[in-house]
Amino acid sequence: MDEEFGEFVAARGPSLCRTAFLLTGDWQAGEDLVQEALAKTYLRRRRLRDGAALEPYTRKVMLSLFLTARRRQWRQELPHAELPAGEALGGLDEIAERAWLWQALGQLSGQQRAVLVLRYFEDLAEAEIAAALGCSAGTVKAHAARGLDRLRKVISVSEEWSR
Amino acid sequence: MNELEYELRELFQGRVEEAERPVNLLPAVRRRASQSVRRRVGAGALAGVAVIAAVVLPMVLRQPAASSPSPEISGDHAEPRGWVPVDYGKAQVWVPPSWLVGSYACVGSTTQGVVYVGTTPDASCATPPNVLTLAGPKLNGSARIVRINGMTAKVRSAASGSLSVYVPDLGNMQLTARGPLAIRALGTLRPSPLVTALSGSPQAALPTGFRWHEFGGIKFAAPANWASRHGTVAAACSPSIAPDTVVLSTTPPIGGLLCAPYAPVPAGYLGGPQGIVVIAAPQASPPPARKCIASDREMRRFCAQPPDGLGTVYTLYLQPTGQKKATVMYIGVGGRGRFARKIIDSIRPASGR
Repeated sequence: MDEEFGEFVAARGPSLCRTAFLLTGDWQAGEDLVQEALAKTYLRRRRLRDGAALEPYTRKVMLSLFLTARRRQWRQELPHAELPAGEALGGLDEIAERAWLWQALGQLSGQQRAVLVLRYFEDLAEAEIAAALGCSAGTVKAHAARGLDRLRKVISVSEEWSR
Repeated sequence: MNELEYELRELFQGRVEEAERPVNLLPAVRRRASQSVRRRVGAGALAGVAVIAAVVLPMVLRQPAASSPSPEISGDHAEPRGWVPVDYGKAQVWVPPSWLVGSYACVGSTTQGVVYVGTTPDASCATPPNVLTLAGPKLNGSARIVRINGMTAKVRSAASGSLSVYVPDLGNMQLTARGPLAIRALGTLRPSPLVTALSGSPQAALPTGFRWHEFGGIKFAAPANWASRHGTVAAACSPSIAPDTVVLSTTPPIGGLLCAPYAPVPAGYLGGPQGIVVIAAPQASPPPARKCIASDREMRRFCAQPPDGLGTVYTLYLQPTGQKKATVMYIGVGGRGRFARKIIDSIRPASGR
C-alpha cells in the first residue's frame, strides 16, 4: 500500500472513526464503515487531484455508504408512533436528557443525522457539508432544521413524561 | 447557538470520548481493497465473456457491414496528455503542440495537422491528414443534437468523413474536423478562458492575494506578486504581454495595432501569458468598439476586439464618466481565465477622481 495513503490512514483514520461512530451509533459499525470507505478511496486514489483530496473524498464515500445502508435498514424497520422506552426515562437531569437526545438521533433520517454530526461535531460549513453529501446548501439547511425540530419535539415529550 | 445545539455538541463529544478505542485500520483496509479488486477481476472476466457472446459472435456470423461515417464525439472528453490549448473567441480545443495554427488561406501541410482560425482552407491548398477549422457559418439542414463536454451541440458528418459541430453557447461557433486526430481534437471542445473572464460582475472587495493599482483614471486589482512598472510596450495586433507583470504606459504601443491575418505558428507557442498592459494615451484610431461588459453611470466599458480573436489577449476601452479619453487595458487571459475574471471584476473609476 502506498506510503502516502498509509500515512493518511494513520493520521486521519481515528478522526473518521469518531464521525462514523456518531453516524452509526456503534463503534464497531463505525469502524467497519471507515474501513470500507478507505478501501474504496484506496482503489480510486490515483484519480484524486492530490493528497489533500483524500480526506474529503473518504468522508464522501463514507457518507454515501452510510446513507445507502440506512435506506436498506429503513425499509426493514417498523415505524413507531412513540419513542420506545429508553435507558433514562426516569429523571431529566443532564445525563438523562442527553441519553434521550442520543436515542432521538436514531429517529432521524440518515441525511438529517449526517448533517447534524458534520455540523456540530466536525464543525463543517454548510458548503462543505453540501459537497460531502452531494446536495445543495439549501438542502443541508433544510435537513438541519428538520433534524433539530424533530429533536426538540422528542425533548419536549421527554420533559412531559418526567413531570 | 441555542441550547439544543449546545447539548448536541456536548453529547457528541461525550459519547465519542466514552466509546473511543485504539484503531489499527491499515490491515483491514488492505484486505478489503484486495477483495474488491478480486471481485472486479471476476466481474470483468464474466463481462468479457458476455461481450464476446453479444458482440463478436454476431459479427463473425454476419456479412461485414460498412463502417459508420459518423464518428462519435458526444460525451465528456479529457485533454489528451501533451496536447495544448488553442483558444479562439469563446471556444477552446486541444491539439498536438506541433500542429500549425493560422488564418492564412493556406496554413501549411508539412505537419500532421493544422488549425484554421477565422477562415476556411482555400480549395487549392495542400492539406495534411488532419485539418480543424474554427470558423464558419451556422450549420443548416438536418443535424444530430449531442452533448459535448456538457454543452449542447449540433453535429453533422459529411460523406468525405469530415465532421462539423455548431455550438450556440460558444458564440455560435462552428468547427469542422477532418482526419482522426482532428476529430479527437474536436471532442476536447470547451469554453475558453475568456468565457470565465467575462462571467463576473463588479465586486467591492479586493480579492485575496491581489492589490490595487490606480492609473489613467481607473482602479483595478492584480495579483500582489505581479511586478509593476511604467514604460512603453511593443505591439503587433495587441501589445506584448509580459508574464505576471502590470505595465502602465502613457504612450501608444510601439509598432501600432495592426491586426493582419495570423501567420501560421505551432500551437505549442500560443500559450498566452497572464499579465496586464494599461495605456492612458490618446489612441490615433481606436478600433470599432462594442459594449461587451456592463457599463454603468460611473464608467463606460467597451471591448475593442469583440471576443472572437485568436489567442488570449483581451482588450477593454474604459472611460470613467467625465474623462475625455478612454484608458485602454489589455489583459492576458492565460490559464483558466480566473485571474482575468477577478481583474475585470475589480475595474472601477479611480478613487481620487
